[in-house]
Amino acid sequence: MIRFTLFNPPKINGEAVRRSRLFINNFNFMSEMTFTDANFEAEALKSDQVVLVDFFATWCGPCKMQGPIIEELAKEIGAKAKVGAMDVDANPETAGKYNIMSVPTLIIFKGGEIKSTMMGLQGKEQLKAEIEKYV
Amino acid sequence: MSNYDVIIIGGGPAGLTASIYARRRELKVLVIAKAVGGQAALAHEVQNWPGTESTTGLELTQRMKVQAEKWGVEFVSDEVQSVTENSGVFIVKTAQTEYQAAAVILAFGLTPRDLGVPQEKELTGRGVSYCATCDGPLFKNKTVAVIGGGNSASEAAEYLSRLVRQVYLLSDSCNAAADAALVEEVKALKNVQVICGLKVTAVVGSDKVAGLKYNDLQTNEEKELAVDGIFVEIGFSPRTDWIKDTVKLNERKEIITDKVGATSQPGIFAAGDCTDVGFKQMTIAAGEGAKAALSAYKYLAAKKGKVATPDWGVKK
Repeated sequence: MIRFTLFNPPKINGEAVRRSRLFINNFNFMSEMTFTDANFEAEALKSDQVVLVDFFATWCGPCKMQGPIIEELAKEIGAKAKVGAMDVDANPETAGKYNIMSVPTLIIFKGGEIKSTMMGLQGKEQLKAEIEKYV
Repeated sequence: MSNYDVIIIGGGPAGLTASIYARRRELKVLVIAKAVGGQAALAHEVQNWPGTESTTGLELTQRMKVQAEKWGVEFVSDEVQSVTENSGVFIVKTAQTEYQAAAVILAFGLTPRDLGVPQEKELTGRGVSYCATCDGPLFKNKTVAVIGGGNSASEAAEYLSRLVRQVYLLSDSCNAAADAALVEEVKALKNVQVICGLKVTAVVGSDKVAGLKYNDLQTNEEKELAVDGIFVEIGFSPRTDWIKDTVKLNERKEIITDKVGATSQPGIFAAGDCTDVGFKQMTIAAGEGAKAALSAYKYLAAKKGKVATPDWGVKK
């Protein structure tokens, strides 16, 4: 049996990855952002940067495959753009506002406006290219 | 342009196993896949992977990736758009990048089939879904249609009935392809209505799904049904249109392979669910991946004028 600890994020169990990911983000260990209803306006809409939000759900299989891609993307893209995720269940206000009917849905914002919407699992290079269009 | 001995397209059990086998033969290997795991990663529980009593598809495929990386396999998270041959070298193109390989292994699996009706593409993710367990909970207290006559459609209807207000289960075959017991169970549910003998002709809605149109096959009448969501559950097919001029496909659009994973194009091998292999199973896909990798190795050795020795009993 494999045991995981919170500060040693597991690479194997997807669900644990998702949960620990959010936990770690709250301590600002990684460059990936955790978006919430509370911080969405300040961190996404009013941000000076191009912002990519991965709207995900904890129960969605493809979201668990998307998770590590977003994490890597956030690290690689650095200060060029703000990359992060939002749990649609925990943040119904924002998810409702953008009418999220499918997860994962990935939206690129700039200056508070939607620039691009992508439905379903996306590759890292595809996301990078899409972000580049608006940087 | 980055140069590889083998480029593997697809990151499910077939592609990942192929990558490990090819790397262990000291080939330079790149795997190109949107995400690692493929359809297998979505399996909630896997109980038939030998040596592992029970695990999730995600965990199993993540372990394969970790193992491949330990051997030195490289990964790119992207989607391949074309493979072309240029005097014995293959150019593998994604939207942004070109890669070069001496051999290619196609292992991109299956994709959910779509209905192929107007407005379906436009409203995918706006009410049209191919994954009931992913998107079902986003339709709480709404009205949805499930389309399909097999077990997966009936199972989706049963699952959704617990979340949504009303489910319509639509099929042409009256669920003939589903287990009778399952169909009876679904029919007995209060908020599921089974309508059959029809063909869906269009998705209705502008910015999101408002309903669907179907043709009643008995009366030949065009009817409309108001729904908030449409779950398409009509099986899977390999997305091979982009490669159809390069390798031969069968009538089901599967890549035709021989016993060792060779396709009709020398230097291109294929493995797993995207091929005409008789069974779409993780263990089988993994074995097919190993075969394709060893065949690619043999092919590359022969090109260099070496004879690849059998993989048993002879020192490498």
